[in-house]
Order: sequence, then structure tokens, then C-alpha cells
Amino acid sequence: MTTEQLIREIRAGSVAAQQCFFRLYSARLLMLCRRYVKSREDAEERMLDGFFKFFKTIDSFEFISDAALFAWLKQIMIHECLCQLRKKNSFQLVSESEAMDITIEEDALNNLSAAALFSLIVQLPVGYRTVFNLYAVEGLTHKEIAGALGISEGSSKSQLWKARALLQKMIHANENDHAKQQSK
Amino acid sequence: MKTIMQNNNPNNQHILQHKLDELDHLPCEEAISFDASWQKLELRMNPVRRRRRNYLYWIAAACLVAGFLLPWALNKQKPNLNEVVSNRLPITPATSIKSNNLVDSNANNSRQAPMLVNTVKITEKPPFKAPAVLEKQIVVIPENPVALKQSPEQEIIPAPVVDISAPVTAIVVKKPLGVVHLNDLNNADGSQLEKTAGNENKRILRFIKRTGVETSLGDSPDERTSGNHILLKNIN
Repeated sequence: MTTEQLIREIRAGSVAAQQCFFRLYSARLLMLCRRYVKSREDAEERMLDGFFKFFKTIDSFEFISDAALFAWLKQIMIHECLCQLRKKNSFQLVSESEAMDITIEEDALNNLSAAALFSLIVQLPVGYRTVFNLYAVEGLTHKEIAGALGISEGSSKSQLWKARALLQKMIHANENDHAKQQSK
Repeated sequence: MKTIMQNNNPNNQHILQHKLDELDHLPCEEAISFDASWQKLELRMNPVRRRRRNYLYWIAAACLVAGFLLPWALNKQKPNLNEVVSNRLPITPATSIKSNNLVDSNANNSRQAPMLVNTVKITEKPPFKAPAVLEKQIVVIPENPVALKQSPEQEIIPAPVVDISAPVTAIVVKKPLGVVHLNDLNNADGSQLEKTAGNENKRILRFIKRTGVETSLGDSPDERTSGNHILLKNIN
């Protein structure tokens, strides 16, 4: 059964199709939610909220491709996570002037594996993490991030720079630890 | 080489995105349990079970309230003896209320006439057993019959034949008769008996004069006063 047929069955009200769809996408979307919401329980709750909204609004969704469907699902999940973060008001704001001095090495993150990258991102403070996820992973502009989080554009930039600096430090620390273990 | 903005290159962003999107679980962590998560989601999507539970709670609460209110309601249904049990509305002989539209046109048909209306007033558990008092009231129908309007749908239709010229007795009041005991009639000095005996004698004398029968009263004062013994002497 293709994804399009699955969507059609869900629209017809098939619970089995819903369950199949959930099995297909839940694991990846849970990892997506965990990138924004650190706690696994909270991330699972946000994922369930996202699926609930998707099944409710599936009539307004027009299937074009699998990639478009996954992008749509990601958008719903990210929205749910940001709603919770906004409720908690957990963004750390850094002024733009402080962030201007921070520089980062090119391709430092690209050399990491997915799991390593994920574990580093999860260790970031919530404000840094959110802006980094939205800018570096999802490809949003600073203006869009500022609108989504209710912060200024400059704050979004400074959060991103801080996140990069912290990630670089963590990467260097991991490399040093790895080198020490190899020398021993 | 150092740059300030690493992700100005869109290819870099796509690499990161592709890496992270394909990640479905961490190697050090256990994967998501689909069944448990699906059950949670199913509960959210079908709130019928929750509603059933709520429904049961509401029924229980309603029963509880009914249990408290039922005795109160039953007590209220018993007739309150302080209140007037029945208060009949005055019914005019000339009119019967049907609809309000014809009130003005039939205004001249209704006349002012006193009516008797019975109302029964029962007092609540008097200290002594008293009979129910029947009161009769006079109800005067107002000159302006518009005042009889009770609802906008009512109208007054005159009764076909009614004679109101005959006067109606206004008040009937039952005056309780005084009870006189037999002993009260026999006074100690016998004055009442004397009066009755005197009247009896006078009647007899009148009878004798008319018929010509000679009579004589007894000699003893007892016979005279009592009047019980009358001697009749036939002259012939």
C-alpha cells in the first residue's frame, strides 16, 4: 500500500490505516521532537499531539509526495514543540554585540555522525538548541525564527552564534577525549 | 579557515537535515513502543470512553441531588394549611372568557354586578377542633372590563341569555343559635313557671268566655299558681 492510499484510507476513517501511518512515521518524528524538547516524555506527548492534529486536519491536506507529507508532519510537530517552549518561556536571550565575536570552524558538524550530532544538539541550552534547530537544520531565516519564537531578529542571530560556539567546544572536547583514549 | 556564519551554504543545511531526519532512534536508547503510544493517541482521538466516564459521574451526582431534594419536594406537595386551598375566580354570569380580542367591543355587555364567591379557608391544626368556615365574599366586577385581561390571547364572549335585573342577595350570614339548657328555664324562685302558668290561665278564661263554660280555679295557692289543675263546672 502506498502512502497516498494510506492517506485515502485515513480520510475514509480507517483506524487500521491510522495505526499503520503512526507506525511508519512515529519513530522519526519522536526524534525530531526530542531535538526541541529534551525530555523524552514531553517529546512523546508533543508527538502524539502532532499526530492528533494531523488526523483531525487530514481533510485539508493534499497529498503531493512523500517528502511533502513528511515536511507537513515535521511542521506540525515543530509547531507543537515551539508552543510548549513558548508556554514555558524558556528561551535564553543573549545580546547581539556579545555574539558578534564568536567564530566557528567550517564543516565541523558535517563530519559527525547523526547520533553524535543529535546527542550534542540535545546538550545545548534550550534557547540555543531551538534557534540552531530552526536555522541550521530546518533552514528558516532569522526573521521567521524571530516571528515563531516571539523574539527579535538580533536575538535569534546571537542565540545561533552562541550555539555554534558551544557545539564547537563540545566537539573539541570529544576529540581530545577520543585522542587520549587512543594514546592510552 | 574561520567563518562567522557556517550555514550560509544551503548544502550544509541539507546535509544536517538529512542526517537528523533519518535518525529514528539512538543506539544507546531503546526504541519507541508503538503499541503504548498508539493507545495513548487512540484515547485522545476517541474521547467516547472519557465521556462515558463523565456521564456516569453526572448520573451519580444527579442521583445524589435527587436523594436530597426528593423528601423536600414531597413535603412541599402536601397541602399547606396556612394557605388558602381554593380561591375560585369570579365568574360573571354575563361573560365567559375565551379570547382577549373582543374585550373592547363587548365592553358594554358586561355590567357591574356583585357576585358571590365561596372561598374555603382552613387554618392549620388549630388547638381545638374547629369546623371549616365557609366565607362568602362580594366580588364587584369593575366597570372597565379591560381590567379582566389576563393574557393577550383571551377574549370575552357574552353568554347568550342572562337576566341580571333580578337583585341578588348580598350577604348571607348564618348566625349560630344560642343554646339554652333546660335547667336555665327553671329558676330557683319559679318566676318562669309562673309566667307560663299565667298565660295558660288567660287562654283558658278567654276560651270559657267564648264557650260559656264555668270554671273555677282551685282554692289552694299551689293550684292557682301552677295552673295544672283546672276545675270545670258545668252550669247546666
